[in-house]
Amino acid sequence: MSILHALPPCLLHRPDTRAKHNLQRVYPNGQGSYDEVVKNIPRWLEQFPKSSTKVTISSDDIPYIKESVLHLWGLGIKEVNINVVFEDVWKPGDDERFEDQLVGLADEIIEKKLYETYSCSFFSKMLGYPYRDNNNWCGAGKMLAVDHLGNFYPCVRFLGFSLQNRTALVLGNCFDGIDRNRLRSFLTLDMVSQSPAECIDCDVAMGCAWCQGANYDCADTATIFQRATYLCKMHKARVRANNYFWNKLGRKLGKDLRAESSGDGPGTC
Amino acid sequence: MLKYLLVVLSESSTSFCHYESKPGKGLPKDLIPLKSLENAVTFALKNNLKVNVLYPARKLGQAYEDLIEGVDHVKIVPFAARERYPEAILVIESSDFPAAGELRNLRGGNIIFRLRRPALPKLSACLGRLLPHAKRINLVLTDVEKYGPGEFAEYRRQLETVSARLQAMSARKTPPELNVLTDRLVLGKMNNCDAGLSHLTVAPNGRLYLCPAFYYDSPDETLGEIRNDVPIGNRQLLELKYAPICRICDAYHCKRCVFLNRALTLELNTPSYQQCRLSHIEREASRLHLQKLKAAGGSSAVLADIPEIAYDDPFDVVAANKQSIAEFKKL
Repeated sequence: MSILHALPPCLLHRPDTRAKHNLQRVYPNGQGSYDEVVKNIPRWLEQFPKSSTKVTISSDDIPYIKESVLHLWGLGIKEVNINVVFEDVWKPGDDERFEDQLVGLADEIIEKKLYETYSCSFFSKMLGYPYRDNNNWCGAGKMLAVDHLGNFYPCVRFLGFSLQNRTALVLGNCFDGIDRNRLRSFLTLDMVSQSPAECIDCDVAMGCAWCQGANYDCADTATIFQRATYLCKMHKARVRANNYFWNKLGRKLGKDLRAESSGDGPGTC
Repeated sequence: MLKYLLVVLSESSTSFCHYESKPGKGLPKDLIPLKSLENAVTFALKNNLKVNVLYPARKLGQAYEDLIEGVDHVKIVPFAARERYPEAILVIESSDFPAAGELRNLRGGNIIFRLRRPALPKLSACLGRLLPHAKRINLVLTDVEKYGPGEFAEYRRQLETVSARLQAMSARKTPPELNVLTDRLVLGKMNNCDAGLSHLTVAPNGRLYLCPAFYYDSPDETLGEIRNDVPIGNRQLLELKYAPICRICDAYHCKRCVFLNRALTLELNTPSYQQCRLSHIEREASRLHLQKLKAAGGSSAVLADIPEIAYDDPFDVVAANKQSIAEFKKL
């Protein structure tokens, strides 16, 4: 596993969040990995200067979002890709707390001109418009995950240990090859065939993500054609914060950055 | 909307489709309980449903026969039971093909011919013997999951021969129909099986299933007891609109078997390449069949031509180019 993926969801410098990290990412003897991970980041960035990291946010992580992103940037990682989890974990008020975090982050980015150097995928100019195309969000079916027995899966999310409610979905194995019939649904899967009508007609749909493995795990039946929409309110909160960011930055720069077709300025923060 | 109900009277009732039923043991417990049959009949009567009844070869008790006669129904029976039910739809198996003398007394009704893969090279010969005795033949290919390039080529050759046989019979007042060659000629939209949408199945255990194949494959996957508003999880996936490959397809005669879909692709709404290839071999054979009928003159002249297409599996079209949101909303 690369250090890229070894990074914790929230890598923070505060003592309480260091402890939080060490609760989630531990060695077999129970010792936390925070110090070891941080120690290796400079070498990683020296060898791979354009590296980015991936962060996943769950309900309990919301209070630390702003600081997490700033801290990762502070460690020298210039691109932070970040998303909320797709499962049914969100509590009432999470969307408002999430929005507050993103607005706070937006203010910091604009005030300190961090947008000139760093990017965070929470902010994107293409976010929050109605759907224009019918593609699937997820790349499952166009990549493979392979387990220790040589079994092929659409992604790591379809392995047994990733699933809580369903059995693993195997596409084939390294001895017999890929079962082309099992691949057909993945390669023809589109947005409309798996989404409820309210998503297809949503005014702020663009950028609203889904995970095929989570869909499969959360669906009422064993299918990849039922989209889990637990993050709906979180996406809408993100859209509001995103609007805030681009409108405020546009005012500062004297440009209309929120216009969908605008080619001016950065595409992401 | 439900239009009919399938009732499987016994574990050993004849299969009329891709699935295999279980060999008959002749035991009373193989039969659907009389009370369950009564519930099915009552449900059909209350909901204006016709009933297709799948019979075993064994004799039923009079109480069963009386119940069945109380509702609008069609009998589907194995060839062995043809004399008891002369008006029924007969199921003939390629593995137990009747002798010429046994066919002579058939009354020109509907026949379901189930062809096992090893008998594929005999398809045209078998149909050549059945067609003179039938008003209509529904050909069902079993073992579809084992079909590959060799079988596809053989099936194409066999249908070409069958087409010639049908053309030779086209001058008759009522020429026989063969689902895989003549249905597409008269269809302007999809005419699929629609299991779970237009019909449900009552199994020998008295419980509901999407179709008999789901019962024989996994009896635990039941839709529950006979009742109104039967809950079907993700029911929309049974609809054409939510089948990305099928909704752009014009092999209108295709059964679009949701059981085969799930068995081979794991999804109810996604057909296997075998099903698509076979349906497109049939579509192309139908297109050529129609051309020849039209060239020979007669009533076929009024039928719309079937367009020539450049693919033999609509998956290739869909995978390369997803349908637009606007097109989807028009469906």
